[in-house]
Amino acid sequence: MIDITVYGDVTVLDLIIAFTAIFLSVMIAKIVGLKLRRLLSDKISKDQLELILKVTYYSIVLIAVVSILPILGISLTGLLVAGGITGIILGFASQNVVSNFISGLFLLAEKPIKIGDQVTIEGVSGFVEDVRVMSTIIRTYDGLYVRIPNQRVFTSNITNLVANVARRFEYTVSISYSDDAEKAINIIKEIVEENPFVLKNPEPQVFVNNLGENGVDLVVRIWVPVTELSNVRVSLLWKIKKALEDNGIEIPFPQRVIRFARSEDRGVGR
Amino acid sequence: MFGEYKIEEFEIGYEDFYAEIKKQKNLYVYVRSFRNEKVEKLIASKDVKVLVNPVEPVNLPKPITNYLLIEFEKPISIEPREFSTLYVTFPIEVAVLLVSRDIKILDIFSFVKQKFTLYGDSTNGIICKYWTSKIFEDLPELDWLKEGLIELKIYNESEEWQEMKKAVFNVYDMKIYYDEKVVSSAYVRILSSKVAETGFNEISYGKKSIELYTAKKIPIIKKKFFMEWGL
Repeated sequence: MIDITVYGDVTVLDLIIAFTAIFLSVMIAKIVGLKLRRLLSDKISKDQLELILKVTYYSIVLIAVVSILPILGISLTGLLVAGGITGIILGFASQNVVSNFISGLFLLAEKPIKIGDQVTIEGVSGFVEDVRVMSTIIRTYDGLYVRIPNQRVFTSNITNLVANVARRFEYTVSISYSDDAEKAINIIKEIVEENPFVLKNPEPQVFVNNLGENGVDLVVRIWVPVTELSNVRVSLLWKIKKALEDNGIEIPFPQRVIRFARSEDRGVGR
Repeated sequence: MFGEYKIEEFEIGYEDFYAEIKKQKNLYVYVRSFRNEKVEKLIASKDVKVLVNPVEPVNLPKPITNYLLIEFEKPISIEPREFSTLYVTFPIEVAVLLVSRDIKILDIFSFVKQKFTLYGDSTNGIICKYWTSKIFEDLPELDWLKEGLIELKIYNESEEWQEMKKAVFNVYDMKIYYDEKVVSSAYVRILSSKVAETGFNEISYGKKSIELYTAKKIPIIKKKFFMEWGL
C-alpha cells in the first residue's frame, strides 16, 4: 500500500515522510519558541523577543520545507526557475500583498514603532499590539482592535508618543484681575515642585501669558518622564485648582460688565 | 534599624514611621504605616529571616530608571592630570527583605524627598533620580537613615582644567555598606570637558547590602556609565 506510486518516483511513503517532517518541524519550532520565550522574556524587551521568536519559527519551518522538497521529487533548481516565472505572475496579481510584506520588512528594520508603544497612525491612537509581516495591530485606548495594513503604516505620518524619554505638557490657568499673579505663580510652582515626577531639569515654567477677556492667563509648562505623563497631568491640575482656592485666588468664570446708561446721561427729556 | 531580625521579633520605627510583622493563625502580616500611607502584606512562611538594609536609591516612588544624578551644590574645578578624593551624599532607600533559600523584596521606603531629572536631551538622554549634595572634604555627620556617603574619587585624565557640577551613575552596580554609617565608593574619570566615565568600587566596611538587582535577578550587562552630555 505504502509503495504505491503517487506521481513520478514519489510514493505514499514519501508523502507520509514529508508531511510528518513538516508536522515535526512545526512542533519543534513551537517548542523552541516556547523555550526561548521562557529564557528571554525577562531579559530583553517584548518587541525584540517577538522578532526573535518569529525569525526562529519561520527559519525552522523553512529549513524543514526546503529539506523535504527532494523527497517530493521537486528539484530546487527547477523550483527557482518556475518560482521566477510564477513570482512575476503572482507579483502582478498580488501587488498589495507584496507591498504590505515589503513595507512590513522595512518597518521591522527601521523600527519607528515597537510593541507596547503608544502611537497615532492615520488618526488611530493606541498601543502597538503587534508588528506583523503584513499588518500592524493597534489596541485603541478604549480597547478596540484595529488592523492597519503595513503599506499604509509605512507611508503615513506616525506619531510615536513614547519614543522620547521625556515630554512636556502645559496648562492654562486663569485668575481674576483683582488677584496677585505673583502669589499665584509661587503657589503653582510649589505644587509642581512637590511632585517627584516633575523633572528638575528642564525646569518647570509658570508665567503670565495673556491678559484675557475674563482674567489673567497663567501658563504652566511641565516636563515629565514619558511613562508618567498621563498620571501627572491628571493629578496636578486639580491640586493647582485647590491650592489656588485655598489661598483665596479666584479662577474666574466668563463674565461681561454691562453698564446701563441712566436716563439723564442719555439726555432724555431735553 | 538596619540588620537582621527573626520574623516574630520584627518591629522597627523612626519618626512617624512604624513597621511590624504580626503572627496570625498560620500566616504572618506585615504592617507598615508612614505619613498617610498604610501597607499590609501577608506572608506564608514557616521559617524566614527579615533583613532591613539600604538599597540602590532608584526604586521610589516608582522604579522608572537605574541612574542617579548627584548635583553638587558648588561646582568643583580639577587640575589636568590630577586626582582628588571627596565625599558626597546620596539618598537612602530602605528595603525590607525576606531571606530564606531565596530573597523576596517585601517593602521599600525612604525618609527623603524623591525627585527625577533629565540628563541630556529628551531624544537621547536618560531619566535620572535627582539628588543635590554638598562636597565634603572630611567625613561629615549625617542622619544615616536619610543620607549615605559616597567616597568619590575624581580623576581628571584630560590635559585641561575641568569643572564638574554633577555626576551620573548607573546604580545597578552600586555597592552599599552599612554599620554605624551607610557608605559607598565611586569614581569619575574625566576624559574631556563633556565626557566622563563613572562606576562604583568595592570597599571593606561593615556589612554589604543585598543589592536589589541581585534580589530581582536582573542580569547586569553595563556597569560603567559614560556621561556624554556634560559634567
